[in-house]
Amino acid sequence: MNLYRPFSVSSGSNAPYMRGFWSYERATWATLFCLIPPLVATLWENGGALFPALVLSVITVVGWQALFVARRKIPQRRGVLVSAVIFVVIAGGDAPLFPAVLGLSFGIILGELVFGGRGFSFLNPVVVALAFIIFAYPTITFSSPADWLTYASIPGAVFLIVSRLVSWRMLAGFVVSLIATSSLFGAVIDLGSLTQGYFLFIVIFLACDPATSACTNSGRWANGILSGFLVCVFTGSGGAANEVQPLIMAIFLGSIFAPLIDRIVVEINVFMRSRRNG
Amino acid sequence: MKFTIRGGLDLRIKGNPKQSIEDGAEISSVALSGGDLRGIRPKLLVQPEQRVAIGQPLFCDRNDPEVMFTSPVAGVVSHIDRSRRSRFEKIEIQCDGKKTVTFDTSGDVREVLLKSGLWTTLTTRPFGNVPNSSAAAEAILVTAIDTNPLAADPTVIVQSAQAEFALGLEKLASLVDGPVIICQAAGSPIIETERKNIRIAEFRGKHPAGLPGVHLERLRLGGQRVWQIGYQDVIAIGHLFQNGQLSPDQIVALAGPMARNPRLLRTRRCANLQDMLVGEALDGELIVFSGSVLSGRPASFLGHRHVQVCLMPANSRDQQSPYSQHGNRNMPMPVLPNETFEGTLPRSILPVPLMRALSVGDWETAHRLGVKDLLEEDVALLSTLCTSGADYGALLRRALVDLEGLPQ
Repeated sequence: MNLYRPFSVSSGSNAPYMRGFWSYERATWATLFCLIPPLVATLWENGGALFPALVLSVITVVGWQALFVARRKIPQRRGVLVSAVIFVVIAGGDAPLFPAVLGLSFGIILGELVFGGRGFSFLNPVVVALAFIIFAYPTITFSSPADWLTYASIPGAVFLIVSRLVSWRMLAGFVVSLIATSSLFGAVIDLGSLTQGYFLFIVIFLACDPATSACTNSGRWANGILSGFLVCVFTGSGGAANEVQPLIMAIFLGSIFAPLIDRIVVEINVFMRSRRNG
Repeated sequence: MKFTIRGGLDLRIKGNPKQSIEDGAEISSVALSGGDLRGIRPKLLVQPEQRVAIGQPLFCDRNDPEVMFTSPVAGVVSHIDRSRRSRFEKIEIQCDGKKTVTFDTSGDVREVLLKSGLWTTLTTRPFGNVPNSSAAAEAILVTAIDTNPLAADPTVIVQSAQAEFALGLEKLASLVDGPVIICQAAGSPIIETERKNIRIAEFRGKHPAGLPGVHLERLRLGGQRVWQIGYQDVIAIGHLFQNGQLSPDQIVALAGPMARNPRLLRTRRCANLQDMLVGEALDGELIVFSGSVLSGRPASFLGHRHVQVCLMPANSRDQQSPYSQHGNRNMPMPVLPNETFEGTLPRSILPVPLMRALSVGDWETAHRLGVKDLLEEDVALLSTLCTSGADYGALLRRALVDLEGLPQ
């Protein structure tokens, strides 16, 4: 996928005059388009029951952002819609409306808006929201998703990876580590379950979020490996790796460790440079 | 020595130049902007309305008067732009006549280069300045590869001036104790040479495979004092030592989607682009770039050391940099890390940590991440690809200026 065509040239007074195709807004739109098939699959499965949750989620994130735009002068961005859609696909059918709105508000404010918006925060707001719901409402269980969710996620996943908006290294590290760790533990988790359930959807849209995962190539491997390992740890014996709780907790911790991983990669890089240059 | 550069980008812009050299239109004036010469505080040596000959000094460095810039044409100084701090910004000369200064080229190479003004074609690494008149380098890098979009093929131009190029190399070789390394595209050697300290390094790959920053890293010259020079400047040095006079000519690639007949043109150094482009552009709004579309700038005169002119369509959409999208709020757009970034820098440099360090003005971290191994052109692709719309070239320059002030 050409990341740089069609390019645009500006005659403004400031460089860069030549701009690649992927602006921040275009990347957001692309992700939103990739989310359409999973969303449609989920809505299809649930009939009209999901619409109130979808509308309420959109109102929640847009409302909070509007408040932050007005009070904190952060720029208005459409990235919050991505968060709302991902949240609805995962939790829309299971969480009652009040916990859902509370959790999503918590996630969008503390996971994103207080940092100035997407790209400035180190946690994905949906991960924060789901972690909040998992802790605050332990009685809410996430049922299995639409049968077609994995298949519906594949086109978007392929597009995001080919266009490099999502790191294949992170994804590969995640899957390899999951398989390696589970076989090391003696098949603690059921690998066959990876083709069903939330696995692909959550890994592509939450774990591999470029804004909240490691940002160096070695760091991406390490981040993926760590998250995959943590999924195994949180799944416990006999569990499946496609359940929401272990995936979200693993990604939550993985994102928290991402800056540390990058820092270690940077320090190694600096050490190698100083040794090379004498 | 052969190197393959992985990653990188081919921008595939339409309008690649036909690789044959033709004579360009008559040029009525030339101009040099002071900003083109890094590390020099210019002191003017001419007055407005004064007649100058080719090779006559126009200004010198205030701190190092031996470093001079000489006139590329014979004519009359028509205009001198000064900024508020009386630093000159632009000096314009109307072409008139063919009077040429003749240099005695039998003396010391360094002295001849300084006197003729060709010394200013050398660029130091790190920092990208014109070297001090008494400075020494551990190696000289001759960049005879150009992977910029719409660039000329250096092989064609060097082949048209084999003797001058060889002589120029020889003179450069006597300037340093270390090697003179010719960086060229993979293929047959650009020049046959017998001298021991003139070496050839071949680079294969997409842009930035042709940038000196990448070459330095692969040649393991990072952190050393190196000078770089372009292939056309080597030809100019050869011409000087062959004829005792400066060559007023230079070859540029005139190309781009808006060029009627993209090709290589023989024109004047620092030429007025309006003269050069008479009848060359297609109808429609266009932007004229001096230098590469990545690291050059919209200009009305050919920049010092620029070897290409790009005619790009002006599109009305996307005109604004994301920085200005939010009115006076001036919030930068965030960096969305992307694996493509890794292929745009020398491979030992971590792009996103460097971009973040530069964006927040953390020069110390930038230094640790190897910012001194880079110049503006090396990060130009990053600025193009990054979602933030930040100009990493300008940020890098600020980092380098501050780091240069520190004791080494």
